[in-house]
Amino acid sequence: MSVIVAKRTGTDPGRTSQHRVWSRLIEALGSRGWILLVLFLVLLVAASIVPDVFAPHDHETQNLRARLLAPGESSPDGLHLLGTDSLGRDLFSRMVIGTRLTMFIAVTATLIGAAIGVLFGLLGGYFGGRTDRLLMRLGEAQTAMPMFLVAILLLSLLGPSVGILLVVLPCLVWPIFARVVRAEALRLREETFIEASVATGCSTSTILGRHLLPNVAPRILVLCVVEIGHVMLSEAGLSFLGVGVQPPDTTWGLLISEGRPLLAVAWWLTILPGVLLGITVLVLNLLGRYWESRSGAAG
Amino acid sequence: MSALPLLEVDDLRVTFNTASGPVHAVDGVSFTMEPGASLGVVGESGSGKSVTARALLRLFAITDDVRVAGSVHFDGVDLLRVDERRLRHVRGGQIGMIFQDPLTSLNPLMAVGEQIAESLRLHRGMGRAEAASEAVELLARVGIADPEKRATELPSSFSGGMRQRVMISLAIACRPRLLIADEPTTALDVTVQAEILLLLDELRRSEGMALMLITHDFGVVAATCEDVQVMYAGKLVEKASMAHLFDRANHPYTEGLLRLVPRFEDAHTGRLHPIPGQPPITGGGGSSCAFAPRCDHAFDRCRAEVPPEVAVGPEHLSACWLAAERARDTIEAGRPWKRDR
Amino acid sequence: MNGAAVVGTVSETGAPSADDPRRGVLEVNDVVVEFDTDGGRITAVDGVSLHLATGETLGLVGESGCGKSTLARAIMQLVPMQRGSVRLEDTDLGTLPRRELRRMRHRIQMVFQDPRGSLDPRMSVSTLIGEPLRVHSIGDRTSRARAVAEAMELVGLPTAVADRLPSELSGGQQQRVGIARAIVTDPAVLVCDEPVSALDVSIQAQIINVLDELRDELDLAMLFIAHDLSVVRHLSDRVAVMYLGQIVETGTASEVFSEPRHPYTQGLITSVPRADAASAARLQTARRLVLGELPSLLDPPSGCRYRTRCPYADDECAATEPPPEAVDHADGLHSLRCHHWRDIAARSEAQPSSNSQEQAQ
Repeated sequence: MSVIVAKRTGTDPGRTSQHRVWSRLIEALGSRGWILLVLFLVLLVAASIVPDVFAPHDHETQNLRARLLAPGESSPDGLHLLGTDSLGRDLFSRMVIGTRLTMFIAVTATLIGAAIGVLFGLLGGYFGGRTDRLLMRLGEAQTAMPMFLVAILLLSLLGPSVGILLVVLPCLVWPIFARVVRAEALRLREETFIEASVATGCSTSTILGRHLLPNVAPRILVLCVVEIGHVMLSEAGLSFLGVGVQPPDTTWGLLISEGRPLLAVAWWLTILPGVLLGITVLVLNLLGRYWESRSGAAG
Repeated sequence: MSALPLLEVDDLRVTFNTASGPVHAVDGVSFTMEPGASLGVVGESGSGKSVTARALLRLFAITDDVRVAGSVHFDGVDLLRVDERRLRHVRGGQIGMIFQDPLTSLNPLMAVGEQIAESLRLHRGMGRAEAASEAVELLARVGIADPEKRATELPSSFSGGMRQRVMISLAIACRPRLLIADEPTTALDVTVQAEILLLLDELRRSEGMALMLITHDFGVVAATCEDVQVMYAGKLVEKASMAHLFDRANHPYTEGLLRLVPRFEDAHTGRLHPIPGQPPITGGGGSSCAFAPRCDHAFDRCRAEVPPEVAVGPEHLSACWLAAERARDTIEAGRPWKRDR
Repeated sequence: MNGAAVVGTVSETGAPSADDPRRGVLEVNDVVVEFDTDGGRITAVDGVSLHLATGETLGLVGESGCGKSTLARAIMQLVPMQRGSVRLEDTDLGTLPRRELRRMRHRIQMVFQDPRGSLDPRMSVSTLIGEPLRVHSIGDRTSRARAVAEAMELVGLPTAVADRLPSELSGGQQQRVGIARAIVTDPAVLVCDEPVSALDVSIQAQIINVLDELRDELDLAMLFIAHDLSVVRHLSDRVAVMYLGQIVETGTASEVFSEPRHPYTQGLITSVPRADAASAARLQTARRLVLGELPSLLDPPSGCRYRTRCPYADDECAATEPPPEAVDHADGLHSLRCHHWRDIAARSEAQPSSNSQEQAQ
């Protein structure tokens, strides 16, 4: 056909109001806003690798004379930008130190969950039939259970530790990966190029690994970014309830938990780590959705 | 030639503004059609043949950033300048249109009889009962067996060929004076194609409507049209009667198109002769012959000036510098229109 | 099915016996493919036999829905067969274990209709063309790179596109990549399923030339499936005409196309619009020969499959299925399934056939 259509690119009409909010936020970012988001993430990563560069004070040094200083107040040790806690430890430094474990747990748990989910999704989507039904029922069964409560139960039975967290948290996210990857694999399975690679003589593992996986990879990456944020929230929730990370290790979630009894006298101890956590989750979500909208337009 | 032309297109220009710059899809096209005439428009994808048809009725997608210039007089009214309300009356009323894929032009959730009846009520002011019976009549007219029953079915229950018949019955429902068919048989099997082409030809004769058939296949034009015009890069490069064109194609592009496809009557006779290169993606709008880069016969003048349309035979025009120079020579030699190769 | 009664005469459509010199690289025998659809079980391919020799092209024609693409996929072992055998260079593909079948695949390759869809969108041109060599562990890295470059040259792809993605190529170039991928392992048989029908006319000619040259240069046996009869005639040595899952007529391209015996073949051929003065008249004849539309495979006609559309059909056609029968005077390759072909031929000799009438005009 010789119709030349000059398509004007516009935003998706939006399936839900939630979706609309996200697309509006992404629109607001413009073409350069995402650089700020990436910069924020780079800072977080840097803080978890070399916290000493960022932390103005030693995070463990207690100073009973400088207890519960409000943000901006100074002690003989110097300025406490975000105040101090009930033992006089510098909150900003503790948040910087907490970044490492927060990030480590969230990223590792997401990657483990993604690996399981991608494997199950690919197998189920490509083979279909009984394999698919089994794997998907497993995912559904798990989604139907209040996994957060199960996690609390498990952690309180086995005793909280970072190791157990890395077993429990992936269980929360793998069904999401499995669902997305399965849907993609189902769609791709019908594409001629998959039939063509069978005709060429590719083995099943070649088809899964070299044809299906690279074609779902962009979606997996986007999903990882978003899910890291969600896992971070779950970890904070568990730590807040006391079944997650235990002192002297620290994460943002634990900081929030520790500050909670003092909310009335020292709001910054809960609010500021909370704000940091919130911002981080938002940034990850925005970045993920931004990439998704970009790759969706291209592919 | 005494009759008033039914359709008079003068210097039609359609320009799309795309992200990568303007595309001159139709670049100064002029032609006329008499009542009851049959005209085939032939060209490759991107030659501007479909855009020309769509421009006649200003049928563009809402997202198109498009500029249309020139004039399209249909029955003395300039369709490019009438208001949208009048135009709607012409569309589907005095001018019917059918497309390559009938499924996208039919409402998938409405029984076909109802769709035809709706159009009858709208354009011909019929009552409900009258329109319904006329719809059944029309389905029978285009060769659909058991029309009473089929009128109640949805488009999805029709096969490709039957769907195209439904589309045709819808297009002729309001007794149009011009039927525009854009690649109506490209997606169909040859046997079904033959039936559809015969149907179009029959309808044209019995209803006295004019037919404008857009296709890439000279065979299809030969079967249904008396006149043919060849488009390249938004311009008409050759116009002739079909009977005349078979062995007297003048423009190198027309010759290329005719030689491009294997002729059925030839067994394997060596390689085919593809036209080298590709049509320009920006359409026309240049200051030279758009075909020159792909033309074996191109010389300096072709690359410097846009060739004029010259008469190379009775009612046979060709926009080619070679023809222009040859015509000048032969006229000087007192032998107009005689070609020697 | 017609069972043993027709075995004696079936050799013209079927695989030749072992001592036959025409024995080919590909022998397809009595293949049946059934599918479950929403409406019930259909037999898409119903007892098809054909053979293909080195350097030979067999054109397979028929309307959409006649089972020609399904047959191609059955030959490629991409859909399961209910019955029959596909022998490639004396190996029965149907009985091979999966792993063995996979190893055989480099000897039989396929070119698909949709050039863009048949290429992995995330692989570069050179990776795509090299993939068959890689999965079959043919050669080392350098010899593979050389083979890819050679294949690209053979199909007329400029070296500059080697690192591009399929989406950055034109339709014609994409199909050239598809062809290069298919020939890079030096297969014995190339199955082309409508390789040009998705392309623009001017590109079609280029791709047909590429296939034509490759067949000569690489001595390929080619199964060429298309609905465009002109293209099939141009490329094929022999043709098989398929109707509702069966081959109704087969023979050399020149025989079948210039002297079609089966009414369906006659109808198909007269339906092809040709750019000449008799075009309109010929279509009238076509309509007389092919009435109405293809019947549904869910409820195929009894007896002769074509009888519902055939102007010559009578009670015999409804009662018994015509077996494949050889045309006597021909070279033994021409056979068809029709009870009345002798009468039809005699009738058209008595009164000059529609074809010759047109030629006289």
